[in-house]
Amino acid sequence: MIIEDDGRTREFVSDGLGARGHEVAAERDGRAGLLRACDRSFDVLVIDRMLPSLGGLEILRALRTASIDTPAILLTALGGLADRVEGLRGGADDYLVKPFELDELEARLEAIGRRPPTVGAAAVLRKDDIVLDRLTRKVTVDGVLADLTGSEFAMLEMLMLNAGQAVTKAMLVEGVFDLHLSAPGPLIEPHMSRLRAKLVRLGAVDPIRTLRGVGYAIAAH
Amino acid sequence: MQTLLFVVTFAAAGATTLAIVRRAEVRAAHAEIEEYEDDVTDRLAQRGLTNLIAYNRTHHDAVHDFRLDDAKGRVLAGGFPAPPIPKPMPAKRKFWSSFAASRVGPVLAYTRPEPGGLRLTVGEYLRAREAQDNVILWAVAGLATVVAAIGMMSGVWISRGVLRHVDGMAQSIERYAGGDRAARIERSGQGASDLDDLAGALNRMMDRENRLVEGLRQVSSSIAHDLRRPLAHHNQEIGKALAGPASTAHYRNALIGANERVSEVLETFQALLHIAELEAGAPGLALCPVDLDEIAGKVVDAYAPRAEAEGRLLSYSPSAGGAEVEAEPRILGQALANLIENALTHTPPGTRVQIRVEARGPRIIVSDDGPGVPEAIRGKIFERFFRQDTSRSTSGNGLGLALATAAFGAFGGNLTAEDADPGLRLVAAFDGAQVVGRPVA
Repeated sequence: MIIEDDGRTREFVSDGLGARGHEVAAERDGRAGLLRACDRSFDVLVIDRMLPSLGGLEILRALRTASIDTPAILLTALGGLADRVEGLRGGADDYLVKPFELDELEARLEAIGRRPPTVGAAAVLRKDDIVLDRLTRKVTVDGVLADLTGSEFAMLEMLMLNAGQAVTKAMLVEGVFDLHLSAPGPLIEPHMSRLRAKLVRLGAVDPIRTLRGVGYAIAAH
Repeated sequence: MQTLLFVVTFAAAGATTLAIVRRAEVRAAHAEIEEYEDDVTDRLAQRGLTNLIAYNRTHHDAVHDFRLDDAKGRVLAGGFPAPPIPKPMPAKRKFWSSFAASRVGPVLAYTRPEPGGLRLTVGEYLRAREAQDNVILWAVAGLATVVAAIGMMSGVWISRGVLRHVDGMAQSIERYAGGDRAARIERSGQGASDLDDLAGALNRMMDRENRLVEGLRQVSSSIAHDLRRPLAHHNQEIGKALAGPASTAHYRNALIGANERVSEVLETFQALLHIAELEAGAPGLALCPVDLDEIAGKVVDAYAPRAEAEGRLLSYSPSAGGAEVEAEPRILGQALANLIENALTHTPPGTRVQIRVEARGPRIIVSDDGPGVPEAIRGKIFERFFRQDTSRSTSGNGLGLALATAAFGAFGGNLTAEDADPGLRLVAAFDGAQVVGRPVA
């Protein structure tokens, strides 16, 4: 469900995601949105930070207080430096600055929607002969330990946790390095080619697919 | 008004003093008359009237005198004026009286009965005392006049000086308000005074406002200039697309390009808004102790592969003893990323870029051995939209360092540029920041 008072953004999201096969409900009012979100029938929520009757942060706080942990992504306007930090602290699972690309929103929604809300995902992730142990923070290829840096491990982990889904370059830069770059490509691409080279060198079939203009993905089993 | 108050106060003080002096004199006169009366009575009782007359003549002090009257009021001896006899006579027939006699002026007298129906009057001629009082009165009045005159003159002199200074201030402010941005208030030059403090504060306010106005002017003209370029380009590309073949693929390509250009403009706006927010102190940001070594290490890790891929060498040396500042970690990391990105973008391949954290300060230093920035424009690189390359062919929106400056500033830091000989050295110093562990003042 999207809770957004701006008609254009609401239509852009509901039509766009609808066209891609998602079922989208829309609310323009904060209070009405909060009431609907209370029945726990949604997989993910997209909530605008600035709403006339009840703000996005207040909705999130109310939901989290009522132990409704439907994953939510907060939309913030241009600027809003403090909004990001505040949003994440206030119970949002992710946030996106307006205007945004539909691909970016979809990738992020899928990432947070698949994330089991309370308990963590499996401690050991597998893709073909690549095994990633989230506890020991080690990766083996066909039983041989791969010499990955911390950031390479974090990138692979993010891709494997979201197997079958696109992970955008901006998501990787934010998730791995905590940075917000207008052009994340030049930063993330060399990291990605190093990671791929290390995996391939150990005999793995390169599991990472490049999605042009979007990001990267690892195919699901 | 103040002068009048001063004169009235002084007159009241003078009158009070005079009254006190008079009171004391009347008491003294009474005491002296009583003493003289004892003397006269003794002499009269022991040596008789003839002796008293003779004694009074030889020992006459010109101030005290007596007279002796018989029952019918005829004077028997002495030259003192006759007191008015009260009717009826007081019960004990002793009385004090004060009256003005002809020729001798005011007198104070004491009258009491003597055996045989006689009446003895002793008293004092008060002329001498009055003359003394008049001297005091004139002295007080004279002094009051002199003091009042001096007070009034100095009051006028001081207030004329103050008024002249205030007039000068008003004129300067008037000139400034009228558009003369260089107008400043002159100090009186008479050492530290409250008015000079005020003038200094107003001058500082004008300086600051001037800087802000100048900054605003520079920023708005830069915004106009910098946004005109991508928008003009955008317009041109749309024109080209419309003039080209009417195929979906052609339009699609044109739209992809248009999307990129508009995104670029939006990014510029985003950066400008962030700078403005940070310059306002970024209200709402929660600060926490940030380990500079850790954050710098993380950012260097992020950029090392890119630097290598682009043919530059990125090295990092953490502080020896650890360095912490109160900051918002993401924004601080972002600011540092901007410094590194600046070094990678504006240097030729083969350049070495070094990041160093120093515990003293603490400071973060990003230096390169590239071509550097000439001293004349080194201070300008932190301005919004500043580009050394005026053709604007290098990438970036010219806001990276301005954003970093604002971010470090929001956490009490200060970003400066130095000559690294060769190359450029950017130093973010947190001397003014509250260092973690130090007690809050």
